[in-house]
Amino acid sequence: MVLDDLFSEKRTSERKLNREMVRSLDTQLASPIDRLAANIADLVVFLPMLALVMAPFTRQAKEAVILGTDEAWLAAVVSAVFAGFILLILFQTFFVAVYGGTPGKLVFRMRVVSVWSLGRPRPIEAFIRALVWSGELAVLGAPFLGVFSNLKRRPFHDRASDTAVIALNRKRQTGLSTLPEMSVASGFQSAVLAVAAVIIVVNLVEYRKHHGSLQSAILSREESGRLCPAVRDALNDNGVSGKRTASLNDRLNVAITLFAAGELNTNCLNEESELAFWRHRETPLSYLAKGLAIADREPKRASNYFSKSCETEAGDKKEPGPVCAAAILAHPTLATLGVEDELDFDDEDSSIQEKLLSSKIEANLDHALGAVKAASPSYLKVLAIRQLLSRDTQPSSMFRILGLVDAFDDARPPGNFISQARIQALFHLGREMEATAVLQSSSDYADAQGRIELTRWLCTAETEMGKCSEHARSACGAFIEKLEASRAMFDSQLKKSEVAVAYIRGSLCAESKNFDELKEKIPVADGKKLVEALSNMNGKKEEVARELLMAIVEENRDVGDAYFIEANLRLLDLVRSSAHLSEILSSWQELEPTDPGFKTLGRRLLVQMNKLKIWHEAIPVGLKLAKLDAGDRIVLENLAIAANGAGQRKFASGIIESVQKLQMQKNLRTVKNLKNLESLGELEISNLGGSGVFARKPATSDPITLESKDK
Amino acid sequence: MIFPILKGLVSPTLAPMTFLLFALNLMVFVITLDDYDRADHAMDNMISDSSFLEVQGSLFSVMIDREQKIFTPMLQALAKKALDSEADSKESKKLLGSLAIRNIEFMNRADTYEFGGDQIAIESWRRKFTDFKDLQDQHPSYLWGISRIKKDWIQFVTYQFAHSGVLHLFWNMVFLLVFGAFVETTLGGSFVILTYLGSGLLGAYIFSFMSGISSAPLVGASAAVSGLIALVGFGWLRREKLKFFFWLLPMEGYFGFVNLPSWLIIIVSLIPDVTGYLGASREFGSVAYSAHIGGAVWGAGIAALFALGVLKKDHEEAKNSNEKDQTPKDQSSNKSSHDSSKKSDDSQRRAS
Repeated sequence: MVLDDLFSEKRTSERKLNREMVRSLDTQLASPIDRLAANIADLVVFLPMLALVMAPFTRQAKEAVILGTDEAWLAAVVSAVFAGFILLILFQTFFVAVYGGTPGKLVFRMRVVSVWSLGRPRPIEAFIRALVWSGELAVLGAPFLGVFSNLKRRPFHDRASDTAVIALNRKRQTGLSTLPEMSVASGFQSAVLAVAAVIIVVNLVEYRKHHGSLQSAILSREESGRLCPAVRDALNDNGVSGKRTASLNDRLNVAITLFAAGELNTNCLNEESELAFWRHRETPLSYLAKGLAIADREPKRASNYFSKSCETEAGDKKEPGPVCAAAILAHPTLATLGVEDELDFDDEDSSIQEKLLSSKIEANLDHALGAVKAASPSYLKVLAIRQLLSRDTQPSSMFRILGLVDAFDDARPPGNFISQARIQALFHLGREMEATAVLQSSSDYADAQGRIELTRWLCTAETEMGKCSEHARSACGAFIEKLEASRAMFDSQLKKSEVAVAYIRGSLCAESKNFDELKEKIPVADGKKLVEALSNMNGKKEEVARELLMAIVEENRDVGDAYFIEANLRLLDLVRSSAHLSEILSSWQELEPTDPGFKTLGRRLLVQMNKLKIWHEAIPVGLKLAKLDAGDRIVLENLAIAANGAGQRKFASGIIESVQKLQMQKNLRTVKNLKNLESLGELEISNLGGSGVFARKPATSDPITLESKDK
Repeated sequence: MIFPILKGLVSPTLAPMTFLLFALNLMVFVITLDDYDRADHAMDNMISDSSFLEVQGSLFSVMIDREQKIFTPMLQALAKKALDSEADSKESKKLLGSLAIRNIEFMNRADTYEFGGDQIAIESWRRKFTDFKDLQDQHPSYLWGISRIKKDWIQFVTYQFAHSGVLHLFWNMVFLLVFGAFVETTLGGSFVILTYLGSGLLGAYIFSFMSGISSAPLVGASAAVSGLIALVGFGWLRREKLKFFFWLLPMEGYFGFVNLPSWLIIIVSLIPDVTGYLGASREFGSVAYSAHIGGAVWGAGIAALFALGVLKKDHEEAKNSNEKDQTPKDQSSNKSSHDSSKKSDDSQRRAS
């Protein structure tokens, strides 16, 4: 290295540099812009060659990205960069050593010369120049600014290799750098070097960070919900572990159980089923999970999944297997009438109602319930409990529920559901004290949310018939206490319609009624409106109250939530004519039998219709309710009243017979009774064909008054 | 930036063959434009259905898993990931679903293949898949182009004139006009036709030979144009430099026209095809580059035959045939005229 640069004294003494000759270079130097243009021109030739050399590695890198193999990607990138550097060094060395300049320099009539001979550099000099030039790229080419910052326009690679770049064309030759030029360029050079250093450091840190947190990133994705953290938590809580295959089955088992208990959403269940499908190919459980996940939005497809779950399950023909039984219990209609041409799910005409009433479904349901044992899988027991709770409130069903919930540990998932089922069963058996005791004990382990949910249910159930009994006051008092105790959740809980309605009912059961204070506490407009309506009802301003309640009904018609039900229930209290009743009837008809509030509103509606002697229209309402719960005495008795009033004496006597049998058998519901009732109902409905909505028919007799049950 | 200008755009009267090919390409493009739009739109709609793609990907992964030998290691790895990985299996399935459309094995056998798994989803997918194949049958790329699904002798020719989009057509036609006109005005129209069609045919043959696993169709004049580019790139290695336009910096003296050796064309225009072939996975359509390479090989072959004297310029051929037709008494005068023509040819070359 020479020319007053690195180690110049030592090297010049060794090789006897002709300083005069070197000084002649000072006027022949190539201009920096020409050198830049030459470098750009070099890219035209170099880049296609670079891409060619790197091509196999870039393919490997792309494939590694697709496959997500970090090591392979890193290896491919490092290999590609290495190959690129080798090519760059060879390219520069070859052209400089053989032609005295790269293609760009040749085009612009520039030459790289050795300062020792002012001729073409030796291969070793060309190699060193190429090596250093390539290395300078790693620091964003900052040393290239040496064409300005160095007095003799020699960047580091020129000084390191004892070369200089000259222009052959006299017009394009330039002289030494000026002082301002050198100063500005030095500043820039330092800045670029600093930026390069920062980029290198940041990249190194990022690389380390990324690779250090890879596992936690995967974990956070699991916890984000796609892989159902609730399932994993439940598995941990239940202490389930085992091999990979076993754990996937356990996951499905737990996922369906949680879903049935209302503790897992459809998306999570869908993901679980997808995971299971492509791991295990076909399993009955995965079909069941998929069917459950899509049943609400795609009933046709869901019914196919349910059928498939039964087909693929190895079970004897006498009794359905647990998966098949679970499918029937979860969606009796979809699982029974699964074939598309047998049931048109979009059609809401009476043919569907007839099919819903068909004994085939009921028989299947009984068959499925018969298959549920204490030792059955958890999901089957939860689905059976859910089904039993939705069917009727007969002691036999409630005892059955108690038997099934005993097989669970209340403290483990789905503990809230189990406790709630236990409380409901005890409550319906008239064992309110025990129900309250369970409620208290479950408070010990249930979370705040669970406690509120349990007490809310009991408060709602106790005030269902619009009365404030002692039990109702006690249950609702506990609910209000729990809700108000958790200040953090108070507002958010009250935004839920069912919680707000229970809170309003409970508050109004309390001895001191303060409507204004209550209205203030409810954070939702519908809730405030409901309180205002109740306040007006209390003040005997019925018309104002009716208008407010009708507004709530209209606003929530599409939702069918607790406000919708409560407003309709309160409207029933204000019914003074059949015209008022028709609006409530149409609201009720919009509800699905599975909707919460369907049964409550239906029963109150049926009683009210009988009071107003609207017999013909009361019969379909009664039949619909009887189908849902064939052991509900209030429904059966009022149905008999309506039938009798409509002149269908044979039908009425058949119902009364059923009621008597129910009483005789200690309310043990039988399929035979149900079938008798259905056949009678169908017969009489056909006789009633042609009667319009609320086309009053003359009553042939006075209604049989069986109102004592209501009181 | 550097772009070959050669002789630039010449008048259609000087390069009738080139302009005839240009007109044919344009005509086919206009004829197929509507069909392309319609078919692309319908197919895009199906492909954008993520559940369709996901199920298809799942089924493809099942097929790959069962019959590993006939699929590439890349597909095998992807299938393994789709089947085993919990975190990214959805994305892998979608990707495999897209790749399945390009895969000949899957496209030929999937509709009757017995897959395990979710039979409900499979049945729904199978209906859509049949629709998709029907759409493919009506797609201009499959009607005019070459694919493993549809391959007939006529498509070896028609594919050279069909283009899938405006940009595809534009760049092919720019290169056709520049290189075709240059070849036609220097060597003759027969060289243009011989190179265009020959390159197209060889490109198509190599494509169909290399495209073992792919069912993706090949359309466009790229292979034919690659032949013309290669003919100039290789044919002018020992001849005069060629005219290029360059733009390096926005300053006077750093952009303009420059005469450069023809090997630059090989580096700038032909090496990227080899790079593309080596750099892209076969599953992602690297085979299309093989058609370009095939076309370039044909063009280089024509250049070699010309250099060896096997092929002669059109007007030399015409002269030779005239000589044969003429009587012996005219031979002396013909000889002198031949010499003068050779001299003028040489002087032309020196001048250029």
